[in-house]
Amino acid sequence: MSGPAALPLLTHDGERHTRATETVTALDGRPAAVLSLSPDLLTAQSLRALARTAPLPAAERARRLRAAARHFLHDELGGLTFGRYRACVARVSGHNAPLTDQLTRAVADAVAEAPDRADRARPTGSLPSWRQVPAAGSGVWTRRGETVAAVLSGNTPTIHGGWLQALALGYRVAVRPSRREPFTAHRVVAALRAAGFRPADAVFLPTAHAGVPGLLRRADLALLYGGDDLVAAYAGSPTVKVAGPGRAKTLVTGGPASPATLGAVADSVTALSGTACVNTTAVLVEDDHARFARDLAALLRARAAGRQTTDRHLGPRVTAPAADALLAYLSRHAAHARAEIPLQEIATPHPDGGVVLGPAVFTVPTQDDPLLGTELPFPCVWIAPWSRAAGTAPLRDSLVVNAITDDLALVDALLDEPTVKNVHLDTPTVHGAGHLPHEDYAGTFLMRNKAVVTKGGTG
Amino acid sequence: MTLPTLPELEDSTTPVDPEEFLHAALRWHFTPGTGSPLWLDLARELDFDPVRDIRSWADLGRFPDIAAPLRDRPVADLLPAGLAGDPPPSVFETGGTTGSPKRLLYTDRWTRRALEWKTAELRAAGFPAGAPWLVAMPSGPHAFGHTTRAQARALGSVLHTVDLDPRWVKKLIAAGGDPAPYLAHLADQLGHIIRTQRIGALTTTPPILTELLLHDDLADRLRDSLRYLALAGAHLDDDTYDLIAGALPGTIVQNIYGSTMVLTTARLRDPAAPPPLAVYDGYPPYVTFAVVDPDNHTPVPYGERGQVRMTHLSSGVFIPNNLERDTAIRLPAPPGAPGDALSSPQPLAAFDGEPVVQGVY
Repeated sequence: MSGPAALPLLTHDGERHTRATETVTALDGRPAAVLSLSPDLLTAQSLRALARTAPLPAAERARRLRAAARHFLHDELGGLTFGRYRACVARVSGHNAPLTDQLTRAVADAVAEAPDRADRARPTGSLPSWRQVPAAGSGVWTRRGETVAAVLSGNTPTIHGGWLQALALGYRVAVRPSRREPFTAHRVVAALRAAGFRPADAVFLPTAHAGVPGLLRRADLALLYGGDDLVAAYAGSPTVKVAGPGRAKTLVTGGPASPATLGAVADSVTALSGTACVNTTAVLVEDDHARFARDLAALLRARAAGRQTTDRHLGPRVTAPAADALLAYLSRHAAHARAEIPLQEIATPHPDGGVVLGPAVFTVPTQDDPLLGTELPFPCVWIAPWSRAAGTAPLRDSLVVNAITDDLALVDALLDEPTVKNVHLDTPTVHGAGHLPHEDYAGTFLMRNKAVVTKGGTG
Repeated sequence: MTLPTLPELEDSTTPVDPEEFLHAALRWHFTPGTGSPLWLDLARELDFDPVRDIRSWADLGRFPDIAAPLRDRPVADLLPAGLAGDPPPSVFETGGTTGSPKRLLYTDRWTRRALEWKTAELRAAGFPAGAPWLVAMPSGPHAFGHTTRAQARALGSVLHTVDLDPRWVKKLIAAGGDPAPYLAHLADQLGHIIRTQRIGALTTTPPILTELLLHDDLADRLRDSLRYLALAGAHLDDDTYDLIAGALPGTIVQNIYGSTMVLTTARLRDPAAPPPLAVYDGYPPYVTFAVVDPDNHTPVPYGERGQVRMTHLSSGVFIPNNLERDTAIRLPAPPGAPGDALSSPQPLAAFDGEPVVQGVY
């Protein structure tokens, strides 16, 4: 095992190692990286340089993004080959080996496809450039600002999709990575530079927690990822788009669930290590919910059997203190819920260090139980009864609802419900694709429409 | 009965025996007729006799924290009776970082002594005496703005000032507000001065300097004329210092560390040392530092970080044992001097349960 990787800042002025550093600790307790931390003055200088840099032309951005995806997969960047980078992510993120491989490769897709994904948000009434406007005039899709701060959290490498779309749209972006998994952000920015993006197109600026307000203040717009506290703090801001907990839910109406339905729900609980906002947190069942819970628990136990101490473990590997804290939380708050899988069975020490958590299945007695909104960072699902009389009420405040139902009026009601952000029909909540909105399209937040009318037309 | 005397010297270079001074100070402050009503009252509540039982500098740790009476008592109670005939003292207040402010008396004797030290040190550091000096630090109830005015006079420099209200900014930030408009307002005011005057010396806080350096025209003017820069009032981290040194080559940069509670800022052992290497001494025997374990208040080993404790003993003020809201690395004091020297001071994350809010100050 070599020493921890040094992750310098990637500023507008090149690479910089700072005296203030933070050690990124792997799940086995050993140091995985020494992260430089940007002081406020440097953050401000970088943002100013970004604001003063004119964007590259759109076609060139698209070409360089495609090239950057190749550099991301194939180059040694910051001293790390793709394989070593992936190993670093595995050591800190807690995802199992196949998932780490899949997610890190998906980052390259997010880089290459950023222009196309961003363009999905463009209204049919707007053109991408005023140079295409016909004589009658048209809306033109334009940036709301020039710089974006991306304040990232969590451990899923695909969190980078949003800011990459901003870059594709011509924004200059300052990325403040998660201090738990800074490797992906560093590698993406390094790959962009290798592909010919200028230092002032995208910067990698880890900061201490206290550095975030300064970063947000200096950028025109911000993409922010975090918990309920951040959502509450910035929910009213027109220049900050906050992505918080998902509280995704699955609804199963009608008679007993088919094996396919159970399988889809199991996928929704465990995909992405059960740590993502799109993982199903609660299942509402019209038929016998207790039986559904028992069947789901049996299926998940079977799927986890024999894997939890291998590199294909089901559920995330977390540090032992984090596992203890989560289990203590469950004992305190879930005492009235029925554990369909005994609590002592959901934490398995892993030979590589840390503890693999999940799966956990609980039954709660009513559809308004507060536990249904309790999103924990491992495969943990709450099963509750549902009745037609309740309608969409128990499904509110969800990033995704998967409705396994023949009731089309109910589907209509879910689409009309303002606090449900995405609706899946008999498709796991974890099913996502780059061309679909997540919390709306990034472009809806980043862009606006201006009328352009030209004498005689330019197109 | 003969009243005690305190052998304070007009000349700071004459050696004072620390032990003799300690005992004289204890006699002065705990004898009716020379001591203050505050300390004579507090002495009745102590479970020891200060004059008889305090034998060493380390024993000063037995005194209780006196923050509460400094916040609540009329300042007349703080004045030692032995100074009754002197000119009235100045009243300055702490920043109010940790609740309501504490009031301290800066006697005429102390003010003159400190001014002599500070101006000599500024000259030694390379301060451009006679060149315009811009100070953006708090005045009002705070000492900093007033002592710099006296220093400018003594150094023959014209003083330009922009005032700060650190308490308002801290309140704003603690309430979740955005300090940016206030910082911009300060930068506006400073900009008028920097654009029109040839500023040779600047004293301000790191966040305000950061704001100034983001204005190219102001950074250019300062790069051209500035010879001396003092940063105070908020933590200066080493990376920010590196950036400032890069932006203002040829300017002497000092990080000023002190406390209203001991009526002065620390003495920089090498006035020209860059802040990451700076060693901060007290003014023994009047002002001394200790670096202690925050939990049991015993000294940490040399070279290790602990909480800063400060002591001020003079005819006007007796602050035996003040725990600061900072940590620092403990270094040996100069030979023969009581207490410790400090390096790399930085704020404690929280103090007495109330979070410490840093702002532009």
